Amino acid sequence: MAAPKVAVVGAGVVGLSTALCIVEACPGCSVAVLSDQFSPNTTSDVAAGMLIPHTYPGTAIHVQKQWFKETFTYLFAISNSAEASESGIHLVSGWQIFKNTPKEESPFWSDVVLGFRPMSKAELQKFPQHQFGQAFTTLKCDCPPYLLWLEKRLKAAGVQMYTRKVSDLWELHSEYNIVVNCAGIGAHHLVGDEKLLPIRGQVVEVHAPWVKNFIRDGDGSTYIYPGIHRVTLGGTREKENWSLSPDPDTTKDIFDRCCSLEPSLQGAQAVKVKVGLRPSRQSVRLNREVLRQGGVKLLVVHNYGHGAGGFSVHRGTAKEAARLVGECIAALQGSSSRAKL
Amino acid sequence: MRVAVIGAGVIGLSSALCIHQQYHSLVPSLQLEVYADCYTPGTTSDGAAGLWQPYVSDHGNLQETLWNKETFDHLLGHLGSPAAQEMGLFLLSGYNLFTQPVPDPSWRNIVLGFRNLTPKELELFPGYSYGWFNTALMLECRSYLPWLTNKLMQRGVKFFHKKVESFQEMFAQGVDVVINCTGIRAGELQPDPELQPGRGQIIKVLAPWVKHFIITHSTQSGIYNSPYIIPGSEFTVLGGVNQRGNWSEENSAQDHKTIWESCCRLLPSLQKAKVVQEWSGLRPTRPRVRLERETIAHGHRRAEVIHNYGHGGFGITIHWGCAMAAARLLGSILQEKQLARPRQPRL
Repeated sequence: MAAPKVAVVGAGVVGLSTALCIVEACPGCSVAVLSDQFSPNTTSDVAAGMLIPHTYPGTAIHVQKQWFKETFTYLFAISNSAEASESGIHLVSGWQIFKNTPKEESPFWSDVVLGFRPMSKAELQKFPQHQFGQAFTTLKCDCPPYLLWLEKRLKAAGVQMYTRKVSDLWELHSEYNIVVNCAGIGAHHLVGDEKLLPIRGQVVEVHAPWVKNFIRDGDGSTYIYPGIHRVTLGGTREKENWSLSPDPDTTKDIFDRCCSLEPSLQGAQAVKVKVGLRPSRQSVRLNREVLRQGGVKLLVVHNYGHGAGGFSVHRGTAKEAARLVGECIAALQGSSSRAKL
Repeated sequence: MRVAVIGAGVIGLSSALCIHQQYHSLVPSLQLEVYADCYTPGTTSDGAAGLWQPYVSDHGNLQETLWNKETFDHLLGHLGSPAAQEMGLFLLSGYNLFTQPVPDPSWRNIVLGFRNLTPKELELFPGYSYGWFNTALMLECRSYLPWLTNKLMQRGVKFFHKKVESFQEMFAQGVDVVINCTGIRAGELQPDPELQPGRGQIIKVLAPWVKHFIITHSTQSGIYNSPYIIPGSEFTVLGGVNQRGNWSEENSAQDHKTIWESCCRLLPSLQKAKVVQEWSGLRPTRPRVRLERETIAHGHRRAEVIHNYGHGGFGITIHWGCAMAAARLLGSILQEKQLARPRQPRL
């Protein structure tokens, strides 16, 4: 059969990294990325891109850990190379602090990040309202740079990118053999997944180049993440809120909460307010499906629903999706050789 | 009571502030002046990256360790204040790297979160098999010195742009106490064979993705003669040269090459960093800091000099502890002078 034609729907961190993994794993394929939005207008562009995993209640912990480890290892190597600055990937150290000591003092990912340990009393003095904390070093993927870097690598590998709104996966059946659904929050309408719901997050990007360490409240509500050029202050977690418009009261509230953790931010100039809808689900949907109409079939691989943890597990899930694409190709080749008999 | 501080680097300005803070209300006649031929941004202090970190071995000098601690604690206390940003003060974490295990430094409990590096972290630094991680402070003099200057001006301290040729010149003008903070050029006022230049050269680059300091150590080369990378609020400083006895303040192409290549090897991402500036300076190196009183006869008077120089590559690290010590020495002088207050007015 001719080279399998694969369409990846979605150009956020999951779509682009999945396309790249497919190119790496299936060199014979022709891969295209279709999306109505590209960087800097994807959900990923709003995220700070910190590698601090979100726990999916519906996925086995050892699987999540494997995804995180693969992602961390992959990005770690790039951060330590000459490509680091272009890719937007860099190491950052800091503290996750808790007002009340959490039940689980060491999360499942504590041995994947670097130097994880409880904070000392002296370190905690900086946060008088918090009684426990964890210090560690992890990675941050700044967007847009990371997405642009992925796009560059995809183009170099011959992957075409098309700005196109896909309303129904079936509409692709005549052009492509396999569709990979990395539509993020778009999957709610695209495939009618009612279990996929937005958790709205607003962030404020400020100019505060003296902030070199991250600070995150363990309840996830307040965080300060220093990027290459700007510091991301956050955030909010508004369930089932679909609004993409920044709210000025929310901006002020985020600023106040962050200043109480890092007073020097009072002197920081706000540069941009952004809103993103975390594509939230009990578990990442990472599976194969066969769509049929009449005698025609379309093989689909789903890779969406990463919620607050997209960056942390993107490479791990992308590799798994590429593996599933490999299975689809084998199935196609199997049925095409059967057809020849 | 006229007190003249000679030198306007971090030592001179902080000594002046400390003195004014402590004595201006106790001694109404106190007149404080600063004399220097060089002000920020042209001082030796301005060339320093600004990282608070003493040398890895204190050679048993407990006094200096205490001054270092006083400085750290003083700065840490200012971290949460609105002044921090103006002062150029912020927390910075990072790595100290060694080719073999070394004992913990005297300052392990002064900095925050001191620990050894894990094997995975050491993978980042091929060639180094041992190291430390901790969070320390940065105090950028390009902000700190202007901040000190403003504080002093607000307090009515007078500044003079001039090269002082001798202590006698000051005494002849009616100065009672000289605070000698002349750094590497202290020998011009009073010969000091123990004071030697430790020439340093640095390359300032734009590399805002670097969020940690990385300081390597080599037992053969000696302190700061091994590559280091220190990210500031705007630029990242690359360095690693400490040439004893070299008085040249000219940038050397050879040193540039050594620093650039060794730092890029240490941190490959630097290959894409844009070079912004090059600078050389002379660390005022001495076996120990000279911080002591000296009484100098001037005609019939007994004039006093408080020496506060010779802080090597740790001036910013130790400055406040030394400023406090200098202020205490002035305190004893003031005490003595009160006991020996002249009955007749000065002519």
